[in-house]
Amino acid sequence: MKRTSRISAVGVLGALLVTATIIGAAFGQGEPVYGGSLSIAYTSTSPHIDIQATNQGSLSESAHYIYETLFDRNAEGDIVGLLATGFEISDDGLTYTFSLQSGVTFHDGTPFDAEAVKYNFERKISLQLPTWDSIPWDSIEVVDPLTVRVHLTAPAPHIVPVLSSKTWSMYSPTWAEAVGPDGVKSDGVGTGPFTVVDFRPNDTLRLARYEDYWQDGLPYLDEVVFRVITDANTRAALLESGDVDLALGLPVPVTERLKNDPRFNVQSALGARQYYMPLNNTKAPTNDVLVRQAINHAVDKEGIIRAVFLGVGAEVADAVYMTPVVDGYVPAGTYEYDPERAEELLEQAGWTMGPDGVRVKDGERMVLTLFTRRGSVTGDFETAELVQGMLADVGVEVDMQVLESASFVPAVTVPPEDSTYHMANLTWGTVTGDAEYVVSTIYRSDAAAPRLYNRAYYSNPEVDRLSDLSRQAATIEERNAIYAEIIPIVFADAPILQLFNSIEFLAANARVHGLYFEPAFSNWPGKYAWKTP
Amino acid sequence: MARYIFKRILIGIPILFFVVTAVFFAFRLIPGDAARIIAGDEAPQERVEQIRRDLGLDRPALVQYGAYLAKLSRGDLGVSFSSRRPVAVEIASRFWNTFSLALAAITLATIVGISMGVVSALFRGTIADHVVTLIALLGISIPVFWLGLLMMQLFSVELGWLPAAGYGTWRHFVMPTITLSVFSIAFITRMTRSSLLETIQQDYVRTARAKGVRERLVLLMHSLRNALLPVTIVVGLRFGYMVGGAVITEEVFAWPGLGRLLILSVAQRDIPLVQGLLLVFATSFVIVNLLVDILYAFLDPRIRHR
Repeated sequence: MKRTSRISAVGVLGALLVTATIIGAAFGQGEPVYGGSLSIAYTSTSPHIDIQATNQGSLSESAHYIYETLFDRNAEGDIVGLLATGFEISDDGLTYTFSLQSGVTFHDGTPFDAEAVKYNFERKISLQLPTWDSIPWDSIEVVDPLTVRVHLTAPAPHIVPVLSSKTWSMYSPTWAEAVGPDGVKSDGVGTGPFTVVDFRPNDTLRLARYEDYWQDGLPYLDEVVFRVITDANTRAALLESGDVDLALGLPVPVTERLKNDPRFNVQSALGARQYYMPLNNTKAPTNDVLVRQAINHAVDKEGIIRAVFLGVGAEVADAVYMTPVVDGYVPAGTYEYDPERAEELLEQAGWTMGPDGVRVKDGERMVLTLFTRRGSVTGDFETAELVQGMLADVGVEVDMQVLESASFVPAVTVPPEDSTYHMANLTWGTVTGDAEYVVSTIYRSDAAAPRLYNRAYYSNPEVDRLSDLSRQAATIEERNAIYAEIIPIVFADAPILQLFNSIEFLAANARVHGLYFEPAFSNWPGKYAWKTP
Repeated sequence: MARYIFKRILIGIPILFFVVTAVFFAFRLIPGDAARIIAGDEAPQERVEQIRRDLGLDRPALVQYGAYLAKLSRGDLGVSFSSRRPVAVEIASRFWNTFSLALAAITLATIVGISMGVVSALFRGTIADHVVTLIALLGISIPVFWLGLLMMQLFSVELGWLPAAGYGTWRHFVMPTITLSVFSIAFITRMTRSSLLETIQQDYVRTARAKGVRERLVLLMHSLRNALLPVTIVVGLRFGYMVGGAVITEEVFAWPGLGRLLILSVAQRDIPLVQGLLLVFATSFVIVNLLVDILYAFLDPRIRHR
């Protein structure tokens, strides 16, 4: 018997309509209005709009207006069909058969069909574009114009969440072939609700309604204009003066003020991004698990959230790298703020208090090197400063080095033997929304930097063994059961300083309706948005 | 005169060559990796290496330098690492934005600065002089971004008279122009005042007065014309800075100009784009200086005849 998992087209459309209606109702604004232009202030300084070549959140914010993926996430974070209407998995979990939406055309008139899907998969693979290797590809087969079959060399139930991430957007094969890998950077031809009118890097991205969009009646707007406004205060002023309809990435004090202003509509939700600091597991003294646990106990996460995020911009993380919106997440726990416990653990590890207030062991002072950036994400530098102060309280001196992005990333992307940091101030975004991405690319010992992102150089044979085992699982449920064993083990090993999960904010003029906010995947589906004149 | 101009242009060429070379090798010294930035924080190492090969960054530095100079000598500025568009296109699409803003700002600064300077000098020691001096002091010490945000809050958010940021109509020009010109207004005011005060005490002014020339004529024809000579240089230099250095103003008002592009391209280690931008800045400086010198020679016959 075949295991089937079918999302019917009718079901999906029905769900979408229900969602749209609910949102309309939630905003209390009745029937959608057609026409008008929506302007959005955001921060993407990306020089290109080539979404297949990146998995940066800031680019995803605009890409899904132009492009679509086979699967999507709804407001609850559940996977729903978009360009795919459903899929079937073979019993051995090695074959996935995707049925495709009919009557879809790309902006250039090219039909969207199985050949187009095959072309896009092969394009990602041959150019080695982000997350191409998270799927154990064997071959891709066109069964009929609306059916495409993927053969794998190992089970990979995460293929569906992976294909729902924006970097797996479908490009028009005719266009992508004609313009080549450089040409897709400054233009876009997809199946999305809007077509690209004009793209000026670091300035504006102008989109117009795609008249032949396959979902009847959508989108509502005639035009969407993204404006790159890098200064957060300027974004706020543009929104408040009515120059833009919607602003992303506003500072917390501004969103707090706008919440009480009836002219604006502020929404927030937990994201898939975690603030953390890898603790170098290969370098003394952070190679000692007691020291790593002590560091976790010494830092007052809630205090930092109050001081830096006004108590509302983040919440304490309770699993390593994973936030609750990630599929496969289980809460593992938090290291409670307990300086006394931290000091006990440090004593236990043999670090005794020295005369200058810094702990010593075998004549060696406890000095940790911390690399940080300033302003790469909200509050990064402020967090590092507070961590430095809190660690000083338990006798750990932190030598903080502020690097600009261009030198920070190479400094924390080196093999363990070349690493010069004990701690690095980073954030982790689970771009696929699925735990497989975490386990395979940052938990495993073979994911150690520079190959992948395990910048703590964490290595636990038991985690590797369980992870290997999970790769035999044919379904997400079976796999998640194994992940539920892995996650607590990683937590106990304290490979990182586990800080907090980001809360994402969106602020819009009250005249804008139907925007729904799906923070985990930087997704604000503008096809549902409409504006009262 | 033509020979003079020609000589000045020739001097400009080694300056530009020096700029290109210095920038090229400075990028070897500072840490940072264009390929890693393009690939993104979360890209695997293999992909970074592949991009490095694609960009030709795996070749020895001298080979890359030679290749760049060879292209440059044919007038080819190369292709931006990050956007993969020709550098000339990237710069051309923004040059007018920066240039028009700089032109508006320097015009405003010159008119207001000289007027305030003249008032200040003529009414030296009076309340008018003190008020102008205070305004100039504020203009020199006020942080540009703060002034910009303050105006934005007042004129856009509160009063709704002007668009808060962006580019398009004349109304978009108002606040950025004021913001960009404030420092120059103050500078030109002080320069005009002190220069005019100095000239007024010159022998030829006294002689003119002694001959019974009317006071207004003494000021306009005999004093001001001479007093404005050093001011021309300041105006020229300020304009040169504005073309290349309006970074903060452009950032605050989201003005799509060259300053923002430079900051971004440095952060992205986009060497061809940085090279191209600095060449443009250096060239504008050389041209502005040349124009100032020609103007100077025109205003001051002593230089012309030397």
